[in-house]
Amino acid sequence: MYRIKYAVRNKSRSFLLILISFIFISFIFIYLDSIDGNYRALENLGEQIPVSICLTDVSGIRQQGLRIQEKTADHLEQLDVKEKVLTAESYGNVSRGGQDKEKISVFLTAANDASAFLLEPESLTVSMEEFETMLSEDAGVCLLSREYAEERGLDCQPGDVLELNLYSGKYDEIGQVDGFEKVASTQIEIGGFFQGRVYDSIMTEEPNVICSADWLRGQYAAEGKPFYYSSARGVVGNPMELNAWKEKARELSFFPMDTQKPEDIAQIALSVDDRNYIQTASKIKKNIEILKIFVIPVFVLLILLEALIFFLSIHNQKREIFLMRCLGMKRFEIILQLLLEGSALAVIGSGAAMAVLLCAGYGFPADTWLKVFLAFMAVQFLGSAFSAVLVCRKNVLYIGKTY
Amino acid sequence: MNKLKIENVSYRYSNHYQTTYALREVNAQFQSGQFCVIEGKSGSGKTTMLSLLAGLDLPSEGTIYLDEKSYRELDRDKLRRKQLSIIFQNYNLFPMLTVQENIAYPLGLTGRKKGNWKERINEILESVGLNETMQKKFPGMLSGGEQQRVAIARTIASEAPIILADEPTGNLDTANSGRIVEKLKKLSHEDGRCVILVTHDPDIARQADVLYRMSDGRIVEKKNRIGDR
Repeated sequence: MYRIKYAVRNKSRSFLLILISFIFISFIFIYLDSIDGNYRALENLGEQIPVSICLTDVSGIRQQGLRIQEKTADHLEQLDVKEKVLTAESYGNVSRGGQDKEKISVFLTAANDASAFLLEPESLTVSMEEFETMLSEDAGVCLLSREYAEERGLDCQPGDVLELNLYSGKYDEIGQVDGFEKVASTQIEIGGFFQGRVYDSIMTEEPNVICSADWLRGQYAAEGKPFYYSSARGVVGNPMELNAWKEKARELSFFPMDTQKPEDIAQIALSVDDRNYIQTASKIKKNIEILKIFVIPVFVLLILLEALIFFLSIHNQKREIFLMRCLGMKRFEIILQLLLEGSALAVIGSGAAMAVLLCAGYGFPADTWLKVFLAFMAVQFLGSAFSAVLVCRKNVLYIGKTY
Repeated sequence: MNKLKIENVSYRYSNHYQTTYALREVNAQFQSGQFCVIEGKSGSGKTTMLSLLAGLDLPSEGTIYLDEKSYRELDRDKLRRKQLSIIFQNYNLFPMLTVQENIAYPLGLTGRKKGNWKERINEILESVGLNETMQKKFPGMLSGGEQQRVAIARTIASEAPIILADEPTGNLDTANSGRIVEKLKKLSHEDGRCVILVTHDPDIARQADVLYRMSDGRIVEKKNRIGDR
């Protein structure tokens, strides 16, 4: 009872011990959170700095107009490539209408995602949502180029159906189109019009018709004809395991890029844009390493400091300890009182620190809170016990002479 | 308590470098109702002797007996709680406890029922010349004389039959010093307690029933004036 009064009245000393506990516990948790935060940043880095990939020719120059086999595109699934954007191209002709049903040539580009094109909402007669839906579904609906329709005198409206003959190109040794082979005769509904440029590269042929890649693939499959994608890109699903991912890509026969090699349309290489990701990830990893290197020294230092402070706090009470001994209190009783007092103050300080940290949004698993708290209390207890035993073991006559 | 006896007691302080004898073959005897004074210069060993009497340590050689029982066989913590009370030169009150709490502290240790202890404390305070308003004050707010009287009040409250006073007037003026010595004499002569007072003041030494004069750790003179009283 008197000890409680003593602790309450000796405000500065009690406050100091509470504050020390508060600061130490806060520091430990903030330090742990810093390591945790770096890990979280590393895990979520793929969202901030996506590792994008695309298929190219071996030289890495050409990313469009490739001849990507279906199985190669399917391998991207196995590589856990997200946000995949595939395009395919096909030649063909459509009937102009009227009496003569004159055929006019047409160039189709199919895609599975609207982001394959540079088209802005204002350049479409349909909404972006409708455009997205059109491309993602296996529907025979297309967007027709307004300029193409006007130049070629195609008098048609959304909802009209075009008679379409599809042709695949025959390629020579250097990848140039050298003749055409008919694939299928089919119909496609005009869902709307687009106008303006579709690509920002003059290397890429501008399409007259945009349709769904799945639909186009289905037309080729129905006739048993080989289907090729002309481009493929996406982002790596889990960039944390980038080296393993690259190894798997090699096993799936993706060539690494070789800028020394001449352009070769027949061989498909995989281009991985991971420079920014790796630079940033390296910095974060370095941070984590530094923080981890200092975990033990920092914690040991804190532990020693904490033990020292509690040690000094008890050492400063030599006079009271001497007096208690003179009044007949047993050593054990004195040690117990000092330990209980120190522990109570440490619990208040560390409890307050944890409450403040919780309110500030520091989220740790319950066992982490408990482990750190128990470790802290154990250290405080050992420091206090060491000091209390040391002071109380001392011959009272010596204490009496030195206080 | 009948008799407190010191028999061939020596005590040495030692560290890594040297050993110093504070007491050498000291023999003395103290009884209830006596006002005993141990007089000597600084370093003569009188405080060490008082500390050994308080059971704060055991003699290096020799034995101290309380009613024929050796200190080595006794529970010395219990002895200090129930049989002994110490008054110090620098008062040694708990600075964070009030006067009332300081006086009541030994009661808590002895486990005695407090009963109407507040009234008892008032009586004790009055008996040492302090008034009731002092009860709630902290030692830091009192003068040296008042603090020493609180220390005596604590001793009275403890009801210990032996009072050990280590230069209790060392820090006090003549008037306060006289009052303290008178109170201690009263405790021995009227309450039948054994008061053993250590001092270097010859004026106080002259008032002793039994006087032990110490020099270099030895008792060089003993005077028994009980017959003169």
